[in-house]
Amino acid sequence: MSWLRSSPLRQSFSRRTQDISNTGTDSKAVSDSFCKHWQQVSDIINRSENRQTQHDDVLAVVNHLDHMTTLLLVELHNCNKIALPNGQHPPAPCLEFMLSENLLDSLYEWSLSTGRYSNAVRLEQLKLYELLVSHSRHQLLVHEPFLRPLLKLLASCQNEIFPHDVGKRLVILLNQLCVVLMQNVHLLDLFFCSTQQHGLQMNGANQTNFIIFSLLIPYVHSDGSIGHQARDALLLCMSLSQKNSNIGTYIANHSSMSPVLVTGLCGLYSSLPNSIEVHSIDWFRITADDVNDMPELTLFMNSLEFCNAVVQVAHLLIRDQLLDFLYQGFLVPVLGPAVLQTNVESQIASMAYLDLILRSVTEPGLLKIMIKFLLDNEKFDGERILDVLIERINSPDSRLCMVTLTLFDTILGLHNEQLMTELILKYLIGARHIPIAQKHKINKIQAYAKTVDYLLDLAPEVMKNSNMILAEHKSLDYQQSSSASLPTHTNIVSRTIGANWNHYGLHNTGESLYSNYHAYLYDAHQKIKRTKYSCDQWTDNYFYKSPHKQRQNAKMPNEQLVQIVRNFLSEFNLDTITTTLMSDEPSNINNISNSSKQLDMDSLQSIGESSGYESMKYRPDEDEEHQINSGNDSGNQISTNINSNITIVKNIEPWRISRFKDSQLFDLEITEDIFTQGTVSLGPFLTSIWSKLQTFTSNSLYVNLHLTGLISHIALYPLPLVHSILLRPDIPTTSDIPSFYQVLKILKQQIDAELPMTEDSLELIDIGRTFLIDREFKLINARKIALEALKASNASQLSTSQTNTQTSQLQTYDPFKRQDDKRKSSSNSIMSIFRRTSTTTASSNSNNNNAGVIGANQAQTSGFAQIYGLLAAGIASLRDHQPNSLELQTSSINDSTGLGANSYINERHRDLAIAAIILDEFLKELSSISQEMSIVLLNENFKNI
Amino acid sequence: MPIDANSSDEIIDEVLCTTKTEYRILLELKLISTEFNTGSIYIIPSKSNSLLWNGIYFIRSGPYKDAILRFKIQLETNYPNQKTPPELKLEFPIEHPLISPDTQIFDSSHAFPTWNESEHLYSFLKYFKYAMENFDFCVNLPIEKIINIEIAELYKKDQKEFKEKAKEMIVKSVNQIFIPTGDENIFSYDRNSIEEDEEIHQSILENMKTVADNLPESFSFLFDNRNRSLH
Repeated sequence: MSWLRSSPLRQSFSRRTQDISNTGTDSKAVSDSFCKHWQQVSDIINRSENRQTQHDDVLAVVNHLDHMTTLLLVELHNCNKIALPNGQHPPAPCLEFMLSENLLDSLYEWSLSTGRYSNAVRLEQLKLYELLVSHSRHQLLVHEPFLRPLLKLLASCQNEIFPHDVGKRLVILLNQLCVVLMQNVHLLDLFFCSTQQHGLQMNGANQTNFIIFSLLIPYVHSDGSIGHQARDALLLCMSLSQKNSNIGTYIANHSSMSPVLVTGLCGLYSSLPNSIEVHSIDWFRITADDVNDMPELTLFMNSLEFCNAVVQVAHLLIRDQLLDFLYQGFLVPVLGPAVLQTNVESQIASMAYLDLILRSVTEPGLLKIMIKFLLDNEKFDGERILDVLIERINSPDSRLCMVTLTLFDTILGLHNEQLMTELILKYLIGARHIPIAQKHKINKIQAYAKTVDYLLDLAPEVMKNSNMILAEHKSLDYQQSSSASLPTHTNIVSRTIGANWNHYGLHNTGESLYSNYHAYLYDAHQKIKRTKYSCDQWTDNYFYKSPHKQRQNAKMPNEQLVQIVRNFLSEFNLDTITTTLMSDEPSNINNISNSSKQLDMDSLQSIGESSGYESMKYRPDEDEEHQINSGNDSGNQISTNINSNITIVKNIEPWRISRFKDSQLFDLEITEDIFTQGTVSLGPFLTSIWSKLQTFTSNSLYVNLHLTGLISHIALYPLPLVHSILLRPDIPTTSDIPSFYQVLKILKQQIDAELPMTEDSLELIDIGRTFLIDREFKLINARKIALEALKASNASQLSTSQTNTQTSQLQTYDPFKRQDDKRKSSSNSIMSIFRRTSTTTASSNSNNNNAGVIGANQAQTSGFAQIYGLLAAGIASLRDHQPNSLELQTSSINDSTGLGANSYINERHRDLAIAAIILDEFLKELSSISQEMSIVLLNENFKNI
Repeated sequence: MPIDANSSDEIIDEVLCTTKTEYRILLELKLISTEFNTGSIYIIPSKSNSLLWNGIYFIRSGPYKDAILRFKIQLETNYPNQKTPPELKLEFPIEHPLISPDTQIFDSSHAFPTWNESEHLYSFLKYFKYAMENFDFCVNLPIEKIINIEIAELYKKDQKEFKEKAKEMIVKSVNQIFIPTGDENIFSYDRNSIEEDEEIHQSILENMKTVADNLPESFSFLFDNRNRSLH
């Protein structure tokens, strides 16, 4: 128990014992002295039978007890040092005396008569027990003279309100008892059902009682270390409940644990501020530092963290009960209405809290009810929380928009199958958004590699030119400096290779990550790996599966079948065949396959394939296989035959045969989808994102950073169906909204038109780029300064309010979350600084568990150091040592970029320049994802074949 | 909206070109690692140059059954946009109708008269394997495609002598693989541990096989000073 190590008691104990043991005290003298002290105590106790307990009496008893405690410690210390071979304990005369004379019981009985001094005496007893429990190797709990007065004492503590020091000592003792019980589960029954066994009167209750637990409950929501220790002890009880189902049943059925926890949580949530004072235009989420900075939030998060821990360790019965209470008692009646408020300020606050909760909750059970909460469409007047959240993406309030985008980033970071299905996948399964003739392409992973060219070509012209100029400068610089610096450079490389490569594959600190394509690739590599790892646990890989395969046994009526074949063939303008077909009776259906032999191979191929290299995947044995697969289904037979004809015509050389069969050339989509082309919805989530993307050039920089980040996050999922709309410009879509590429193309045209390739534009881009890179470095420095300030303040214990405010404001930005598309532009040092920060935060708050969880969560969900997005205000305040003047600095672009200084520059052009840079970087990010995907997903579809 | 075919012309970024070649190589390697049955062909790029590949081929059928051949494949810097197939050079002078007796370069022009980005190296290697294991196929190719006419003639005319010669080469080829070479990422074996014992030899080869099978999971190589693993 970590708290023990820092307990003053323990410190004084070790100091004292050391002193005494060094003098080589002999045990006889110790026990004599012990008895003497007791004799005097006993005298006082006996005297008190006849008269009112006096102040002096109590003082004397406490004093004697103190001495006795010391002597006991000496004895225990000596005993613990000696190990007798037969496993017996060495003699402990003091202890034996204490037990045989029933000292503790006498003491307890006397304490009842101490009146207004009872708390002082109780405190002394608690100390004594705590000491004996924690430092004796003897199993004192099995001794009646020890256990009985202990239980009496504990029973007397019920329903009492103690001063802080007594409460604290009680919790420590209870905590110690839990530790002992964890190690000796068989002792558990001593504290359980204790009512009858020990004949104690406990509020007249004759029911089962686990006294340790019920004493701890009042402290569960306490502030500070006492609360932590109580929760710690309660968690030990919860763990005990897994070893002993009696405990589980007791806690679930007879204790008020779950209601107490949930009502506490509700109360603490209600006390959270209804609107968060946002000082900076790019604020978007609550960080661990904010939690520490806001006492209400700290309390709430402690409580939530405790619930999380209970769910983690407790007996199934308790867990289910608590989850049920949480859902019915907190999520539905408290959190739901909070999120659904109509006031924008309250919406922002409640969404930020929801985001924080989602990031902090780690237990699958708890996560599950959170997801249920998001998807519940009964409890909130038919509204689904998730749908409400989606609507807010397009909120005119940019703060609400950013908080919403961040929340969805968190949701995507959960890698939850159900949520992904609800948000995106359920609209894409079946690929109704893709024309029939194109569907076979979806799972063709090799085509991803070609996306790069297409995406990068969508960069605004002015960016292409600017990048070219930049590249020329760089290569010039490199040529000039290479001769001088080369030897040291290679040295560094050889030393650090394989060891110090960071997330971005860089080892050179102090370098901007701006426009660093390698960094983008590294970033994509890491994130895809992580995402894929999570998605591999899903029930399905969500590759496109043709209905052809899915509905093999479905019998199609012939008439409908003919219609479908007709549609299919007419799509390829195969008039002759269509005519033949129409004149055919349905029973002559096999003729179709004969007719299809007449098909010109070239035309068929050009329909099916955009490039020749996929042709090697035709397999001769596909023929045979399809005959077997689809033997019962005449509808499938047609497509099979068409396929096999192609296969036969093309004589395949043995070395061109792949071990993996590709999805067949054509799918006859035997579905009504054919008639719904052009009206297919991609679902509200993607529709909202697209519509926000359409206003890219007029969105604020920070909204765009989060927006592009969210889109990239979606693309990181190893799901070809999702990629079909994000990373596959070669696949046309027929959705009811413009395709992703159409939107990007329009943006490019817009920027090209408004920001033509002129010297002025290039200069604007340059200024914008400088602003973003400056921001990157400011962040690094600010973070460094903040860390140092934090360290200094911790070291000197001088947590002046100013330092606190400063650091906390600085840390209000989450370094791990996307604040800027150019997050790749963070140098590796930033990355590691941020990484370290999160762990430092976590460990420096080791008794503040939630901070740790948040930190861990951040590190997990976000490999992204979002540099640029730092609160410019935070930096400014740090620089100016004016932590309270943040409002003055909010317009960060104007104030800190120098853009505003160039008054001749039109504001719109300035925004466009920034938008152009962000778009350019976004395209790089997407193309690096597509490149990485082309490797990661290759043959993934055939893994289990 | 199909890809504009000419869009790639506009890409002038050198980094991007390198990246594309690198990713293509990763793709080829991943395909190879999944396309070949265990115990036949293994590939590992050279430590210092991702365009130079070391390979080893355990021949499991055909007249050279049981031979072990080390070879190198050289890709051009603009891969996969090179005009001719990659150069496959054997380290051991095995006699084969499609292998030049002077340069030990495998001639793939029958199957791959040209090369373009739609071709894949695994099919190139499969052709190599096919040719090595199917002498009948090779000797019946048009005469201008046959590089080593002597061995083709011998195979056709004197099976007995051919078989003796083949046997001799098989033994030699196995011995050859113990000779270490400079590259760190090369398949080599320690002779001392093998000695004459046939059983040990077999078990080591088996072991090798499993190691090589697992290679694509773990091996990393240098890509433009970047360390990355294949998966």
